[in-house]
Amino acid sequence: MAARGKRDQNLWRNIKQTYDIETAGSMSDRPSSPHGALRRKALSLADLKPGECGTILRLQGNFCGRLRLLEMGLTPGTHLRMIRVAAFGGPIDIEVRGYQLSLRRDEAAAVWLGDNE
Amino acid sequence: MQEDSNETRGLTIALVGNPNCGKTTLFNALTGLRQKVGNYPGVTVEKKIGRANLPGGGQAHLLDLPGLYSLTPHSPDELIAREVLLGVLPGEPQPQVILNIVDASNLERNLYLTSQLLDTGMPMVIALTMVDSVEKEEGIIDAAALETAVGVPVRVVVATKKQGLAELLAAVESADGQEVRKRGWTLSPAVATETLKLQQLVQREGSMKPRVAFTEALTLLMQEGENSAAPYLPVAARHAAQEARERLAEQGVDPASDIIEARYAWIADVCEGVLHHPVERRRGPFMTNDRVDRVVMHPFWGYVLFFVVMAVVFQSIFSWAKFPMEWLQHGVELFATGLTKIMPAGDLRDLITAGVLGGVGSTIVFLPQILLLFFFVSLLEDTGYMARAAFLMDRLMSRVGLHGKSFIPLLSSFACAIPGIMATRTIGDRKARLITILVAPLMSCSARLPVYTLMIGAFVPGRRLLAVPLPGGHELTLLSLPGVTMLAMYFLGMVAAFGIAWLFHRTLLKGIPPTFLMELPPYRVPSLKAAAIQMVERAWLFLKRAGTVILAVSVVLWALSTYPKRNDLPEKDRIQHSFVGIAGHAIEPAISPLGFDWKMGIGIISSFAAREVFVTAMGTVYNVGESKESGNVNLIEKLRADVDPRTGRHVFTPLVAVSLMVYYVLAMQCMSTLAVVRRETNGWKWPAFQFGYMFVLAWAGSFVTYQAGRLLGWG
Repeated sequence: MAARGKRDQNLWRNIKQTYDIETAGSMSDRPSSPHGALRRKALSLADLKPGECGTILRLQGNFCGRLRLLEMGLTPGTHLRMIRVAAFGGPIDIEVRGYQLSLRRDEAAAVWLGDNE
Repeated sequence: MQEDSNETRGLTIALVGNPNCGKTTLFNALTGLRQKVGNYPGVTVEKKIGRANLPGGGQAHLLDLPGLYSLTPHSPDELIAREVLLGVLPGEPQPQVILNIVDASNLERNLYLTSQLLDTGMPMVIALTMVDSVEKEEGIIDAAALETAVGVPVRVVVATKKQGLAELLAAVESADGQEVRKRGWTLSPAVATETLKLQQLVQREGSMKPRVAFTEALTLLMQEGENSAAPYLPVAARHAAQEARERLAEQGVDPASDIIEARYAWIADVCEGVLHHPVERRRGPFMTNDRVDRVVMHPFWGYVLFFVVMAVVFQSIFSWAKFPMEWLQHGVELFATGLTKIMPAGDLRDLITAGVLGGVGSTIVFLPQILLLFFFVSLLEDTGYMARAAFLMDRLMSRVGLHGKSFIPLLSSFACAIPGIMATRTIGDRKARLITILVAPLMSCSARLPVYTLMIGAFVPGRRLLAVPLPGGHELTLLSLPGVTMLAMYFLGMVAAFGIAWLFHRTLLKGIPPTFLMELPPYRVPSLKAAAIQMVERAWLFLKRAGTVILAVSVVLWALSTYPKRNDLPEKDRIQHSFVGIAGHAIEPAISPLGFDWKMGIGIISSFAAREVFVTAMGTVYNVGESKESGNVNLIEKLRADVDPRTGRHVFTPLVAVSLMVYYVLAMQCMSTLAVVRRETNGWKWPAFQFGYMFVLAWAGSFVTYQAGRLLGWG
C-alpha cells in the first residue's frame, strides 16, 4: 500500500466507494450483501466529495435529529449537492431545495443516497 | 362592523416565519420603535410586541414570534410559538390573524411552515419578501398565482423601503374572521385513517377545535418519544399515538416521513406554477454567494479572516469600551461626591453614595461592552457571517460539547462574561448553550485584572526571561516573569473552561443529544437600524433584570461592611469589627489551607459582588488612601511588609499571591454574572450550581497550588 502512487490511491478509493469492498474494520455498520463482496454500495451524504450530487434514498435510524432533517426538506427523492467540507473533519455544507444547509458529519452519515427504484 | 370591534379591542396579529426570512425587518418597519420586549412566563423565550395603526383606523398589536422552521416543537422557541398559535398557552389570547412571512428566494422550505399554518385554519395573510433577490437572478415569481394556489391573500413587501406595508395591513385587516379553506395537501390512506382516529380522540379528550386537534394529531404521529409531545395533551392521546405508530410500522409506513413528504409534494406543485427560473437555475442563487464563500469558508483564508474579525470584536469590547466605561464611572463618582457635599453626613448619605450609587455604578459600567458586543453580534448575524464562523469553529468546539457559535460568547467573556452570556442566545442547541453559559465566567474577564496587577506588581519579581538587544544599548523585553504569570492566569482560565465543558458534556448533560443542523443564509446587507434596536433592547433588558438584583446585593454588602458601627474605633479598624470583618475571621480556618489569612477573607467576602472590589477592600483593611496611583504603591508596600504577629512570618509571599490569583481565576465572584445567568436560564438553579462548582474548583485549585508550592519549598 505504501508504495502506491497518489493516483493509484485515489483510484482505489473510488473503487472502494463505488463498490462495497469489505475491508477489515470498515463499513461494518452497513448491511452485508447476500450476493458477495462486490455490490453497488449505499452511499451516505457524508461520503460525497465537494461538487458531487446525490438523491436521498432514506434517512437511516431513529436518531432525534431525523425529524428535523426531514422537515428541513431532506425527504426521500430530494436531490442535493455537496458544496464543501470543513477542515479537520468539521461540518459539511450542502445545497438542498435551493438553499444552503450545514450539518455535522455524524448527522450526514444517516442520510443514505441512491436511486429509489 | 368589523372596524367597530377593532377599535375597541385592537387586532392581535402574529408574525410567523422562518429564521432569516426578513421577519424582524418587517416587524421594525411596521411598528417603528413602538415595541416592547419581555419574556413568556416560565421560559427564556423572548416576547416582542409592537403596535401599528391599521388603514381602517383601528389599532393592531403585532406579536413577533421567534423564527421557526416548523410548528413541530424541537426547541422552547418552537413550543411557545406553537402554543400561542394554537391558543393553548395559558394567559395568552390566541392571535386573530397570522401574518406569515415567506422568503421568495427560499420558497420551498418557507412554504413548509406555511402548510402547517394553513392546517390551523386561522385567518392568514402571506407577506412575500426578498422578491428582489429572485428577480436579480432573473427569476420570476407570480404572487397572484401563489395566492390562488395557497388560498390566502399574498402581498409583496420590501420592508427596507417601506413598500407594500399599507396594502399588507389592509389585507390583514380584512382577513380578520376569514377562516382558511380546506387544506391542499393529502395524506396517504393509511396515515390519514390513523390521523383521523387520533384527531377525534384529541378533540374529545382535550376538548379542542377540530383544526387544532388535527395539527396535534399529526405532531403526535410524527414525534417519537413521549417526553417530546406537547405536555398539555391528555396522556391517552400519547398512548394512542404510540399504538398508531406501531400499527403503521407493521405496514412498513413511517408516518413522519409520509406526512412531511406529502407536504413537500404539495409545495412542489405550488412552486411549479409560481416560480419561473431561467434555464441555468441550478447554480443560480449561489453564484455570488459561492464566490464569497470560497474565501470566507476557505480552509486557510477562512480562518485568517475569522481571526481578523474576532480581533476587531475583541479589541472593541476590551479596549474601545474602556473610555465610555471610565466616563460612566467618573460620572457616578462625581455624582456621589456632589451628594456628599450637599447631604449631611450620616448613615443615609453613606447608604446612597456607597451602597446605592456603588451598585448603580457597577451595573451601568457594563453597558458600553454590552452595546458594542450586541452591535457586532447583530451585524454578524444579519450579514450571514455568523453561520459561516460557526461552520469553521464547530469541529474544535464540538469536541467538548460546545457549538460553533459558542466561540463569540467565550471570546467576549475575556472582556466581561455578562455580554458573553447574553450573546449565547444565538446558539440553537440547548445543551451547547447551557454549557457555554456555565463555563463562560472562567475566562479571565477585565474585572480580574486589578487583582492580577496588584498581586503580580507586589510579589512577582520583574525578571526578564527573553530579551533582544536593540541598537543604542537598549533591550526589548519579549518575555518577563510578570508577563508570563499574567499569561498563565489567562491560560488557566481557558483550560479550566474547556475542561469543565468537556466534563459537563460527558456527565451532567450527557442525556441531551446535540444538534447542529444550521442554515447558511445568503449574504445580505445588514440593517444599522435593526442593529441599533437590538443593542438598545439588550441594554434595557440588562438594566431592568440584572440591575435590580445587583442593586439589592450592593446595598446588603454595604450594610454588612458598615454595621455594627463602632464609632469609638479609629476608621481603619472599623471594617474589622463589622459583619464582614467578623465573617473574615470566621472563615479563616477554611481558607488558611489556601495560604490566606482573615484580611484576605475580608477581601474575598467584600468582593463577592465584583472581583475588582478586592483591591479597594484591601486598601481599607490596610488603611491606605483612596488616591489611585500612590494608593496602589502604598498598598503594595504594606502588603509586602505585613507580618503575622503569631508566627513572625510574612503574610503575603509570592506563593500566597499566586494562590490568590488562582482563586480569582476560578471563583464566581461576580453577582452581575449570576443575575444574568438567572435571567438567561430562567431560574436560580443554574446560577446556584455555577456558583457552587466554581467555588469548589477555586478552593481546590488554590489548595493544590499552595500546598504543592509549600512541598516544593516555595512558600
